[in-house]
Amino acid sequence: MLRIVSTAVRSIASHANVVNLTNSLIFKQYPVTQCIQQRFFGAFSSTINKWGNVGNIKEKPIFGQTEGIVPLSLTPVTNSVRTVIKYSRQKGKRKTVKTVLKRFYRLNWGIWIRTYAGRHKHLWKKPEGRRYRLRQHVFCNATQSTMLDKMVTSYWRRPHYYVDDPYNPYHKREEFPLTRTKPKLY
Amino acid sequence: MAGKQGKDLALSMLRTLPRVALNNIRNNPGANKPSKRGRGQHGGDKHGAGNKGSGQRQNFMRTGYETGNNPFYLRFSYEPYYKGHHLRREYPPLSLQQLQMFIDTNRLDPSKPIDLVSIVNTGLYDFKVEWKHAGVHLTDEGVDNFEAKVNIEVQWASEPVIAAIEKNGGTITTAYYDIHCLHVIKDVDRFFTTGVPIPRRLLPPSDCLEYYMSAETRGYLANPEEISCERLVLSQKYGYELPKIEDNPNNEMLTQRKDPRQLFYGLEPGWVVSLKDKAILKPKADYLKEFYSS
Repeated sequence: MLRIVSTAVRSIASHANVVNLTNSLIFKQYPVTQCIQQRFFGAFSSTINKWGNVGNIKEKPIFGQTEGIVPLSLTPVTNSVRTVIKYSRQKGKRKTVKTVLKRFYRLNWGIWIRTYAGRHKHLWKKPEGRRYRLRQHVFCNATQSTMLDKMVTSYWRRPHYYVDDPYNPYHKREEFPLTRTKPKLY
Repeated sequence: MAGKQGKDLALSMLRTLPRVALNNIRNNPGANKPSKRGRGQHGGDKHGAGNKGSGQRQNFMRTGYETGNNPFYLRFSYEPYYKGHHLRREYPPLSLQQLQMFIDTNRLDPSKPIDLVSIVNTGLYDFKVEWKHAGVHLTDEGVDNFEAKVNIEVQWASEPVIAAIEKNGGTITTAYYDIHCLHVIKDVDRFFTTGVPIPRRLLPPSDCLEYYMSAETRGYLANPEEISCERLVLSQKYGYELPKIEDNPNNEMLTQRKDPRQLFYGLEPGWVVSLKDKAILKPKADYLKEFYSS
């Protein structure tokens, strides 16, 4: 892209030398740079959404001109994407829905736990028993857990062995005959 | 053949039938997919997509979308369940039950000090350095059946585990290995073929420095006098008589410890081990000796 700009500027400069009018140089530089800008964004329009600093480009002075280079139609519309990405742009891999990990926790036996909705709201009008229940963490059901499993990658589905983790006692269900994985020792 | 019945009849029929071979088997029903889309009565009409609505239009909704409802996966407030997970080290557990089994089945030799290298060399304990696994967490499962007298070095141990080992007359140390050392320990044979000198162990990072310096957790950086004091305190807390190590004939083995910079028993950092030549090459330059000892 730099080469395009440099060749364009050089051609203008040679042209200006012939005409020998410095004023016209500045005058003519404007539409050329604008056209390059548009071409650049046309060719790499897919990269616009990826860049976090697209807003800065607009403010960055290009060839001494600070404003009005990027048309308003090219300014990116940032939508928050919370859907599952099955094939990422760079590596073609699945991606985790990050908001799931902010709200849910997976136990190693496959179930996900969550908090209650509205646990911080209008507590003044909720009786003590209800406030106690709002403080609890509860299981999601099987359908919901399967859905959440699909929304995260395999990293989150494998066991993690943190020491001093408050959820460590809940990762196994050896206490029930149906869910036991190892034979009971007598 | 007329007189045969049941199993005999079935077997005699089987003898006369041709053997199952490629020329007389067919696909499972539905295994073959036709390459063409049928028209009209040949599976055409709705093409299996149903009548009207979402199904007919085949708009497969994205996971978690509930057609305008506040979705279930966005319904609840944040909770820091996974906060800082990318920084936390993991210690895959090894229970005392398993350790006893390793010793009973001659995978581990209790007459020698047991460390991470010997546990990995049993082939029954697996850890992945790239998954931030940092060594053995000895858990108290099977604590009542543990009988071995060992000198063991693990990376993490709880109080009942320490008590169980010291009750039997053994000793336990908790020691830290940095990531380079863990890579070496993971596959020692492969490391020795590379011809790289044995690295020196780095000191623990600040988040677990306290654990490895504390005498209650039998840290490898703790003062030995404090540890012997804490052994007595723990025996009184759990109510057992502490066996005297000094009177033990294996005293030398039980009190053997690695240097905080040392990776293998009997080998020092900076040495190069050649398995092919069966030789050990030691550094001679002073600056190398200084580097590996500091």
